[in-house]
Amino acid sequence: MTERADEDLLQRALDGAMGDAEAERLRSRLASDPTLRARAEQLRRLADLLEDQEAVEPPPELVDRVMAAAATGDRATATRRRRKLTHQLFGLFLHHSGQDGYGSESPWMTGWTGGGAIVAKKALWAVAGLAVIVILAVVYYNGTRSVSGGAEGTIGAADRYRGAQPTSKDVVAPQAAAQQFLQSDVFDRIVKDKNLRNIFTDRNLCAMLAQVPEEALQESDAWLNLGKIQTALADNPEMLAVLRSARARAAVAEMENLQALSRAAARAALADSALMENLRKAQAALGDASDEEWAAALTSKQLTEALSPSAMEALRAVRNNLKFKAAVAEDQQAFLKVALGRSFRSALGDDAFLSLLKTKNALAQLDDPNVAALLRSNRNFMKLFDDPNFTAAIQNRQFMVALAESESLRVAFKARGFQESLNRFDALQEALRAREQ
Amino acid sequence: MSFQVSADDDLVFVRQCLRGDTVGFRPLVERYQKLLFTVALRMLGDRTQATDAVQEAFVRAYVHLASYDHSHKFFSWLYRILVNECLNVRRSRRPLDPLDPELAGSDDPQRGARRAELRASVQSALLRLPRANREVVVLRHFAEMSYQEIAEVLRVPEKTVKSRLYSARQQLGQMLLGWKGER
Repeated sequence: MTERADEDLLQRALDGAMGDAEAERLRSRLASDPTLRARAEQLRRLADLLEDQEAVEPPPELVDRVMAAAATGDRATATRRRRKLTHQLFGLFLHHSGQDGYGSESPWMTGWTGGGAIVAKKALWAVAGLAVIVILAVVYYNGTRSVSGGAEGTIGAADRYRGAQPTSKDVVAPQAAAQQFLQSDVFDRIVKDKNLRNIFTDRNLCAMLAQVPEEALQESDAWLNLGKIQTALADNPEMLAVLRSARARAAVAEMENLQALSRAAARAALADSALMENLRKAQAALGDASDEEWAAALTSKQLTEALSPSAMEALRAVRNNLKFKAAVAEDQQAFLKVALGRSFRSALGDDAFLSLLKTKNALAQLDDPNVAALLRSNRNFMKLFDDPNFTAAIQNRQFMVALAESESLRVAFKARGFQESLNRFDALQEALRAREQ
Repeated sequence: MSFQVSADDDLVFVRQCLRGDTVGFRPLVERYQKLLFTVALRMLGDRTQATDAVQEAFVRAYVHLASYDHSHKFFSWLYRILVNECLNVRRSRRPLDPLDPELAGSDDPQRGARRAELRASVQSALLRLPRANREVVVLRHFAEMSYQEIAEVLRVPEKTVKSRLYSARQQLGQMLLGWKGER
């Protein structure tokens, strides 16, 4: 083993960071110390291996590609702002698990993110659809033409696909993924759809994009995975149907929704890897909804509030609880049903409930194996959440404060007797009704 | 192989760009493309991904040029952007991407299978290093930067650079040459 001082000398000799005096000292040490010579030989062999790697040259067209992309980026400040929005929305919609540390298994996230809306599952579906619409629109507008158009934008969309292929000047890097998408059958179907073309040329959309505040357009480097949008759309006729609907067009005119989407927490929530699957389930569960219901959902302040940073922060804390996730995973269908229930969503939109979720006691509850077992095994407990009487009860601020601060209540929740009482759901429901009367 | 990691006229070109003259960016791209590409390739192990990362880093640098703090070297700032791009690429790539054949040398059996195998092993070992250690090895051995230059680019003390280099070499030695334990 070499001494630290000798090792330092060897390393610096290897790196050419040694003065004459030190070099002389090292030579002297090497001459007298076979162990040090062996170590020097080790390091030399390693350096040889590294130096034997082939020299690499960048592709000859790299400079031109960069300059073309830079020139595109320089064309107009407005274009740049819209591009930022594209990045952001790509991040929102396409950035699947990992970056935020959430992990990828959260099949119940749909219910949480949509909590608080009148028909939040509908709204979420539409919001995801809107993200796609806005993404496509922004990609298109960033491509070759000005934003100001009416009908000419429609023609442009079709021309773009039929005519010249996108070049490095058309779409900002990484061009390969963007080009692949723009040349795909999915994009073909989209741009040939009359309703969609109308959306792309919607003056409200254009005006809205121009008004998005700069601070809302920060972050998200995850827009690179453009191919994922293609995958998401390719197997998803429901999504395409949403994109084509007049309701979606009306919704993009709602600034409120776009602002909600721009929040980092909302992006993180919507970036869940299982979102698409859950959206599909939610869509299937919706049935036929009227335009009025859609409009009400999409313009609801509750939706925006549900996507607020504080709500997201609280939900994130719960969501990250491994035991709770495990419990939910045991019976996803039941939980999804409850999570999508109107009353439960309504409860999630309540400030007091959100405050409760943020307390240590509440999180401790969720950590408790008994509670986890309860969630896992007791369908009556699930039903309880969907009961309007129970919702009314937990929306009572005093009840919430008591629940959050009371050690005895916490103990009670964990008690076997309490769990057994939940099994007698009918009786509990009766008691709640009696209280109302 | 020797790279330029700073130049007095970097700022001249930067200011030219900030005045709206895109042409001023070309000398900067030409000056640093090879160095950035070398770093990206060794960090990522894939030529296509390295090209994308470098291109995106330059474009980002151009778009956000106004935020560049002139008290730091332009390359240092550019390098940080590249590292972020490389991280993005690594996050998004498939776990079983094959090693770049050019790096592995496996497409040219005439040069000697042993040498190709060694090169592939070295690149593979590089990719298995922790990012911080990989960075210093790449900057030292492939970008041929001095301790001082690496410290400035990474914004860490020189002592940290040396420490990471030592650790990285130990790890590489264990992976490639069968060294045993900590020295």
